[in-house]
Amino acid sequence: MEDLILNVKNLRKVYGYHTEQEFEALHNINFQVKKGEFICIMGPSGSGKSTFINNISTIDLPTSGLVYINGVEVRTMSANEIGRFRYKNLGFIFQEFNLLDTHTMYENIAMPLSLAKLKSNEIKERIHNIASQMNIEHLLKKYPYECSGGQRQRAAICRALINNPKIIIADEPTGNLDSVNSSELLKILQTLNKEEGVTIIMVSHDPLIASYSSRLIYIKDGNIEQKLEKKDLTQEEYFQKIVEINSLESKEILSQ
Amino acid sequence: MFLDSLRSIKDDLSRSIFYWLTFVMTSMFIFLFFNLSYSDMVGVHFINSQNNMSTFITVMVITICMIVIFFANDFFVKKKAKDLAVRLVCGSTYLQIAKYLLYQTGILLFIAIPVGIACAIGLIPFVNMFLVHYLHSQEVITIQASAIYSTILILSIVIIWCTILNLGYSFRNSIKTLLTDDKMIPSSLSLPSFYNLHIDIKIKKALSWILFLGPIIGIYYYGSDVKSILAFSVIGMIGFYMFLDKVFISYLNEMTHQKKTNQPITLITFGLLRNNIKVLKKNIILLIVSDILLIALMVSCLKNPIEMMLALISFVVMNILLSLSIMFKLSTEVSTRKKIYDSIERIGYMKDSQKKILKNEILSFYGFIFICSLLYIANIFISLILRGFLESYLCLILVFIFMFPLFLCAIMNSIYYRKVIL
Repeated sequence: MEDLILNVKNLRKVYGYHTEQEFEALHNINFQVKKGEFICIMGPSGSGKSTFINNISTIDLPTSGLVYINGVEVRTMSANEIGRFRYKNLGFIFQEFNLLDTHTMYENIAMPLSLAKLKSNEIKERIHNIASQMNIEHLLKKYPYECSGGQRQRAAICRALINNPKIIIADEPTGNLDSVNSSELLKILQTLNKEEGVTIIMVSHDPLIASYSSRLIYIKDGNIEQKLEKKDLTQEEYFQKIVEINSLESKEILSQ
Repeated sequence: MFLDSLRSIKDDLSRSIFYWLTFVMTSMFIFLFFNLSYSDMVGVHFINSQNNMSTFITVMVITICMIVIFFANDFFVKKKAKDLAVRLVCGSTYLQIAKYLLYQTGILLFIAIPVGIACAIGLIPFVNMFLVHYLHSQEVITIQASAIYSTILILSIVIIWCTILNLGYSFRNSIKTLLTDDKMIPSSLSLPSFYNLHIDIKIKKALSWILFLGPIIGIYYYGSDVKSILAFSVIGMIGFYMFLDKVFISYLNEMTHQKKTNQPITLITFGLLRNNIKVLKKNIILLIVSDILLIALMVSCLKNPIEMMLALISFVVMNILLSLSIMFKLSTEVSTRKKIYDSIERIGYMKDSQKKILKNEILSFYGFIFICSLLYIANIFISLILRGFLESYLCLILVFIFMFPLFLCAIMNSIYYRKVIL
């Protein structure tokens, strides 16, 4: 229990609670993540993947159930505490990059450190270090709209990693990238996971991308339908198993 | 299509009301203006002008009305981008799209004209009171039939102008750009080539300061001549344009990169302020230039109360309309900010911080306009008071006329911004 970084108990999310449009998107989900795991969440469209990831990462609050991140129950925190908790413990990477076009790449990366009230010199040093690791140091004075998709995603990763978060939440991080940039991004995530011990929770549709993870969670209709661990499997074997899980749904539809 | 247009107006009611209000004000000012400029004392006639200065003011005010309608139309249409894209995907032609937008503009304008004219008729007694009591005029403004015809003619041109704008909007935008609604801030300025010469940045900064502030000294020395005031102001505005880019924006860059990085709210506010100034700098300069021009015209027609009244009304009209154009353009800009605020919320900026950012951004943006504009306008007034051309009470009224619409627009922008973001 001690090395659990995320513990979700009986998580329920209901939209339009007590209205005619009431809809339960997640049903009593139980889910645990150990420190240093690389988890991929898969599932068909509308299955509740994004709702799930939003509810376990403080972006949204569950209707009922408990979410412990690093031993702290999310709903016991005030709005300001959640904000503080977010920039101290979590790093987000999104499909749309979510960089501010009104701010330079430098300013975008600086935001979590600014919230952490670090000194300007320290912020500068850390940004230059991480930007040189990600090979975007020469782009720091540029605006996101002046950079390519790959460069923007690197900047988003820099922003997600800059204050050494305990968990990285990645929602379809390769959705807007070509195959070269996608595989580069995954290698970066894998290195972070293996060498730095960063816990990664990633949503993806793509079995190839999911095969970089150490554990797969398959969500369907608001429930965890299947779980798969990589363990001693090679990446190719793991990939084959993920493809099988994914194709099950198609087979079911065809048999009907 | 007509019913569709009505539904679209209803679905986007707050924007439609904004747009309608612009039409009401434009109709009101144009009508009031024509009644004044067509009076025998001023003597402007639509075809054959007798008075060059009055004609110049009339043309200027009508042009400003057109510019404001352009910004209001842009604000009105941009939000409909997705709607238009879906119609294009479903097979609508560009002409049908233009017709669809024209119906909406036409409906709003049709309702706005009578309201605008009624407001103008209601205002005429107050204008006459001002003429008689403060400008000691022997004559007053009466409602003239030719003013109604001219107002209708100008507003018909407005409809054609809006049709061209909307047709241009649908032609300019492909389905993809309408759906993604991507916009980029131009990185380079459309300034003369000498501006982009490879001169040391320190020299460019110094030159900007000199060109911006130097003419103020010139206004004090040669302020008795209207042409000198205008010449120095033009130089000052070129300096101001350079100052914005080379000094102020780079100051904000320096602040966000080096000194204010550790202040989370300032970091975001400065970035947004910098963006606003880049997007709206032409509007700000147009506001200051128009004010200076009208102050100069007022000084040149001090002996003729009616012409003075014409210039004064123009000053009021222009300030209201140009403040509205700033408000519309900023509203168009902030309507795309929801994504930015969602992003910063994910990073850890909570609602309280977001409210502070929003408040600081609006305060600093409008504060910047007030300070930069008053730097010129106030100095011109002081110079004119010192020379005995203008009374200090009139200058205070003019400063109030300048500040009040901007102040109201700041409040409106703030309310709209909150509605979009929070």
